[in-house]
Amino acid sequence: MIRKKVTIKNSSGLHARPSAALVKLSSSFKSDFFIHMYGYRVNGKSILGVMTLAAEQGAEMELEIDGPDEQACLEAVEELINQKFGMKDE
Amino acid sequence: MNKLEGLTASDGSAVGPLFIREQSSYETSSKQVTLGEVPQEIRHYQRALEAYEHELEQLLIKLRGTASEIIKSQSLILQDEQIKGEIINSIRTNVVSASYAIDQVYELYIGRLRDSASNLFRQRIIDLITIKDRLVKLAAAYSEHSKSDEQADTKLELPISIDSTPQIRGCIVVARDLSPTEVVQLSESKVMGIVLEKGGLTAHAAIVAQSLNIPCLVQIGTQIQDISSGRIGIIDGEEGVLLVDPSPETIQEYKTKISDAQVAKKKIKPTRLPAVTKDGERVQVHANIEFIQELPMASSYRAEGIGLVRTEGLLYGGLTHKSEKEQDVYYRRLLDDSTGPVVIRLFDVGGDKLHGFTTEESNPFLGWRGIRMLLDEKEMLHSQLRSILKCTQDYPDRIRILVPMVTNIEEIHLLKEELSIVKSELIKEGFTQVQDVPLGIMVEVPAVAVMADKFAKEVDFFSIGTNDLTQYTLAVDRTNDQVGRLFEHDHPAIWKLVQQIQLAAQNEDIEVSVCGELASTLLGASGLIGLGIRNLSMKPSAILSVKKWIHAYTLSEFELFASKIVKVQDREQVHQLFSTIFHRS
Repeated sequence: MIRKKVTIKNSSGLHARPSAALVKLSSSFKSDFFIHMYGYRVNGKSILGVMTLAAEQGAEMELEIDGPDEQACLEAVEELINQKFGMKDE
Repeated sequence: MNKLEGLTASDGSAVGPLFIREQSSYETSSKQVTLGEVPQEIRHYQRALEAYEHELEQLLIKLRGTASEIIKSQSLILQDEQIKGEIINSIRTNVVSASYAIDQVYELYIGRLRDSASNLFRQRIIDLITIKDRLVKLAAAYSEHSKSDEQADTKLELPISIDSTPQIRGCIVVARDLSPTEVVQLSESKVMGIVLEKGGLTAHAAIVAQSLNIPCLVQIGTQIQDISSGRIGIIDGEEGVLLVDPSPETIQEYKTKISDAQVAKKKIKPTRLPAVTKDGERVQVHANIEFIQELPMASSYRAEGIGLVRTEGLLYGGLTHKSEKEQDVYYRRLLDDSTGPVVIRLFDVGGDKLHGFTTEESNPFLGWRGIRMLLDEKEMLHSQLRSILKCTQDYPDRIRILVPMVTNIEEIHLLKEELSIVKSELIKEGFTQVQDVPLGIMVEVPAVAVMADKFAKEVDFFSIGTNDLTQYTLAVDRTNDQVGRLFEHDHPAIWKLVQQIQLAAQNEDIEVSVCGELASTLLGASGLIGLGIRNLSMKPSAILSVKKWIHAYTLSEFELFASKIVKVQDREQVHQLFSTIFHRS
C-alpha cells in the first residue's frame, strides 16, 4: 500500500467534471483507491464520494492506493491532478 | 409594471406569460417492506437506473460541449458502484423499499455538499437532488406497477417527463432552481426563457441554458414568490431584469428588439472577432470584473483582457481584511480563467468597510478611501501587494496594478516605496522570480485630470474612471434623488478632461483605458475612440453591443464626432450631434 499527499491545483477544484475524470482514470486500475480529506475516507472510484469532498483549489488530500498496480495508478492520478485535469475551467 | 433585478446567466431577451413551476414534491412510498419483497425492490432500483440512463442518453443527442459533459457526469453518478452498493445494501439490511433507500443514501452525500463552504460546490446540490428525485420517482413507479400487476416483469412504459406538459410552450418558466436535465426538457417544450430564484452564473442549469440559447436570469430572489402564473413577463438580458405586467408598448418594443437581434445574429457574429472599425482600426475591448462568476461571460464575449478587477468584493462580509492566502486563491482563479492582461485595482473602499465601528464620515466620497486609506493601513496594503506580486511568478507579463483615488504625486512615490519593500521581502523569502508590474492610476479626481501631464511621467498607464470623475467634476451625487439627474457622464466638461488626459498620455507614450460606464454606451464609446482611446473596459454584458457598434463605423466618423463634442456648450448638443452623425439615413 502506498500513501501520498497531493494538492488540488485547478481553479474550480474537484467539481463534477474533474471528479468524473479522476474516477474514470482510477477505475481503469485494479488497485483499491481511497482519498483521505477532512477526516473522511472516500472511495476514489466513486464519483459521488469524490465530488462531495468539495475539494477546492489549494485543498490537500492524501491518496491511499493498494493493489498490484498501485505505483502506476499513483503516477497516473498524480499526473492528472498536476495537469489540472486537462480541462479548461468553467 | 414591476421590475425585478437578477443576473444574466444566458444572454438574450424574451417575452411571454410566466409559468411558475412548483417545486416537485413526492412521498417516498412505504418505507418498510417484507423480507420476501427485498429481491423485488432491488430489481425496481435496477430498472429505475436503466430507465434514467436511457433518458440521459436521449438528452445527450441534443447537447454538445460543456453541456454534454455535464450530462455525462450525471450518468457517471448514476453508475457509481459505491452508491449502487450502498443502496442495494440498505434495501437488504434495513428491509426497506428501493425509493426509501435511494432517498437515504443520496441525502447523505447531499448533506456533505450542504456543509461545504464553497458556493461552487453548493450549486451542485440541485444536480444531486434531481438525480435522486428522478430515481425515487422511477423506482416508485415500478413498484406501483408490480403491485397492480401480478406479472412483475412485464415491460413498463417509461413515465413521461415531468415537464412535457403542453401549457408551458412559449412561456417564461420561473423556478426556485433547476437541474441541467430539467433545462433540456424545458427547451424541448419550447419555453421562451428561464428565471431562477437562486442559481448562480456557473450553475449547471445556466451553462446548459447558454448552450441551448435560452435566455436565463438567475438570483432574482424571493420577490418572485409573490407573482402568479399567467401574468406577462419580459426577460431583459442586457439589464439582467425581469419586467412583470409590462405595458403593451413595452411588449411591442421588446418584440421588435428580439426579432432584430435574431436577424443580426444570423448575419454576423462579431463577438468572436476582435473589435475593429469599418476601416480597420483596432480597439481593445476588455471586461470589468468583480466576481469570479462573471469570468465565463467575459470569455464567451471574447473580452481581450480584464481591464478592471474590483477587489473590494473580497472585503465584504468580513469585518477585517482578507488573509493573503484567500487573496492568492482569488487572483489565481482570475488569471486561470481569463486571457490577456489583468488589471487589478487595489482595494477601493472607504474606512467604514475596514472599521465598521468608527464614526461615520460626513462626506465619505471626499474622505478616507482608496490610496489614502491604504497608505495608512500598511498591513492590508502589504497583504494585497504580496499576493499580487507572488502571482507574477506563475503568470508573467499579465498582471498590472491600478491605484484608486490618487490625488497627489506624492502618493505614487509612497506606493512605489511600499512596492519595493514588499518585493525585497518576497525575494528574501525565496520568491526569486517575482516581476515588477506596470503601475497605473485611476484618473477620477479632477486634480489628476488637470495635472495629467505630470502624472504621465510617473506611471505606466492611466485608467479613466468616468463615474467618479463625473461625480467630482460636476459636484453631483448620482444616488441623491434631488440632484441625480444632473449626473451626466457625457457632459462636454468630461469630454474636455478626457481629451486632456489622452493628450498627456500620448506625449509620454503611456496607455490610457476607460473603465467607467461611459465606455459601455454607444455614444460614449464613439466619443472615446474618436478622441484617440484604444482601450475600453466594461461590464461583460455590454461587450457585444459595443463591438458591433465599432464594426459598423469608420474611425473618421468617430473622430468627426469627437472633434465636435469637445466644443459644444451642453450635453443636449452632444446628443444631437450623435444622432446626426451616426443615424444618417
